[in-house]
Order: sequence, then C-alpha cells, then structure tokens
Amino acid sequence: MSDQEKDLVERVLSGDTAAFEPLIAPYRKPLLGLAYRMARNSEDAREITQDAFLRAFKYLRNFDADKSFKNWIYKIVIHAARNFQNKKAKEGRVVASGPVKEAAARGSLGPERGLERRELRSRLMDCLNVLTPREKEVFLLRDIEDLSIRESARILGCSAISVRVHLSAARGKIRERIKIRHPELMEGKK
Amino acid sequence: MNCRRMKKNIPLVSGGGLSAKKGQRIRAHLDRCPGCGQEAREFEAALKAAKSLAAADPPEDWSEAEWRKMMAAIASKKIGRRRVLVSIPSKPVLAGGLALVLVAAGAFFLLKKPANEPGRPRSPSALVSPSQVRPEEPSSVTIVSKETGLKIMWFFNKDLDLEKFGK
Repeated sequence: MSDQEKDLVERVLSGDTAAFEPLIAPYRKPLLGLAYRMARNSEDAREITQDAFLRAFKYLRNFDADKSFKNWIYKIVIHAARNFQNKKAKEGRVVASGPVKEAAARGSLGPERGLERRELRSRLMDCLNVLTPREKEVFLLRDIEDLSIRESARILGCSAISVRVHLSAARGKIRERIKIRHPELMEGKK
Repeated sequence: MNCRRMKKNIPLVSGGGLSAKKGQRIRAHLDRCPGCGQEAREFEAALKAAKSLAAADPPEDWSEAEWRKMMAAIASKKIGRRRVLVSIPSKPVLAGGLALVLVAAGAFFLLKKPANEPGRPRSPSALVSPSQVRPEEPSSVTIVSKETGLKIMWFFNKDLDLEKFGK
C-alpha cells in the first residue's frame, strides 16, 4: 500500500470522511468493469460497486494497513458480486444480460453504436458463460483486469496453484468457444 | 519436455502465469514443435480477442454529479467499530494441538493401571468401606496450548481412572 493510501485511510478513520473519495477514485473504473463482467449489465454493476464502496467505508477500521488496499477493495467487490448473484438467483430473477435495461442505460448512444456494443457484449458474455464461477473470477482478474497470479490468489483467498489451474482451464474453454462460435475473432476481426 | 506435458502448460505460457525459467523452457519447445506452436498461437489470439471485446464494451460509468452524490451519501454513514472476531487458528496450530492431545491420550492409556485385574491386589482405597473413604481432591492433568489457549483438563481418582463429571 502506498504512503498516500495509508495517509488517506488514517484521515478517513480520524473523521475526515471526504478523504474516502480520493482513496477509492483510482479503483472506480476497474472495479466497475469487474462488477460489469460479473453481473452482465451496467445497472447491476453500479449497484454492486456502490454496495462494495459502502462496505469498504463501513469496515475500513478492519482493514490491515500492512496489506494491499487494492486487493482488499477487489475482494469486497468480488464478494458483493457473488452476494448479488446469489440474491438474484434466490429471487428467481434472470442474471443474464438485460437488453431492456441496457437499452435504457445506453440511451445516450446512437442506435448503431448501441447495437454494436450489444453485439460485442453478447460475444464476450457467450465466452464467459462457459466458465464456472471460479474460473470466471480468475479469468476476469488475471486476464481482463491484468492482476498478477499472486494478487488474484490473495483476492480470491486461494493458492497461486489453484489460480493457475483455474486460469488454464478458463483459457482453454475460452479458446474453444471462440474457435467454434466466433472464429472471425481469432483472425483479428471484430 | 514432450508434447503431452507441453499441452498442460500452453494456456499458461500464452497469457503469462508461469515462472520465467519454465516459460523459457516451454518457449524453446514451441519454437521447435509446429503443432504446439500453432496451439500456442491460437491461445494467444483467443486471449487477445477476449481482451479486445472487454475493452470495446466498457460499463456505463456514473456521471460526476451521481458520483459526488453517492460519495456524499457514503461519507454521511458511520464507520463501524473494529470487529473482534474469534480467529480460527491456522492449520499448523490446529495440527499441533491435535498432536498434543493424541500424545497425552496415548500416554494416559499406557500409564493407566488395570483396575480390576484378577489375582491382582486391589488398591488400599478399594479395601476400605465406603463410609471410611475420605473425600479427596482428584488429581488432574491440565494441557494448555500456547498458540490457541485451549485448555484440556483430565481428572483422575486414586486408581488413575478417569473421573466422570458430576461425581
């Protein structure tokens, strides 16, 4: 953890709650991206990330300053996303991408751009759908978020070996899926 | 390294995830073997495609006004107290504790004298009538784990028989 982050954590804990925003701002987009890939739509991703930020603030006193703040906050987002999906599954709601919600959320984009985005998203989701939940988490952290094996292991609370095993399986499945269903992507076309 | 072993490592070498030394060894094989080389290129292309798909579809971010509103709402909450959780001891500590208990139990059974062995003189306390028995403090063995603080107490009577609770 950087000295700046340590200082911000101390400031928040000593009552300067405005210091929380600069503390989490660098992780805003990556965390939202991670939640988006896990939840499969922007609206749910924002809900998950907001919940994670709130939890991070609430439990900041439990954060060990000798450890990485980045890993800690990623861990919270992963847990928030899992809880969200479990909750949705219990309620019987469909976790898959919601075209109606997304269309509303992306109202600002032109129809062509919106269609193109939806197409891209459906291809990526189609690839991610073949993965188990753990494989998906490992793949997203390591290959999409570009975290190291060790960081991914710490976030997921497992060993580096376990991450490697799941990562290998995930990459194999993604390759098969792209090769069979989207061979044009292998040739560099979108 | 043969091709069969190589297949297991290709997904990891293609996207990173192996040590430099192992990666180098595998890359040397990939340069020599066209089949494995082709598979590695496919993995790289698939990974690149997945990354570019993800990059081309970013999530809808909060507007600055929404973000500020959310931050203000969070900042208005109270920070919780530090949670004092009963920490679960690590595996080596648990294993140590279990080993200690097993050793103690083994020692107990080895040192224990048979109570009513035929032909063996009974202990003096067993020869006196119940009215003459003086209430005595039972002897006990206490084992305390330094790591966990777990305390195990065993109470024995004069014959080194394990005392039952409630007696």
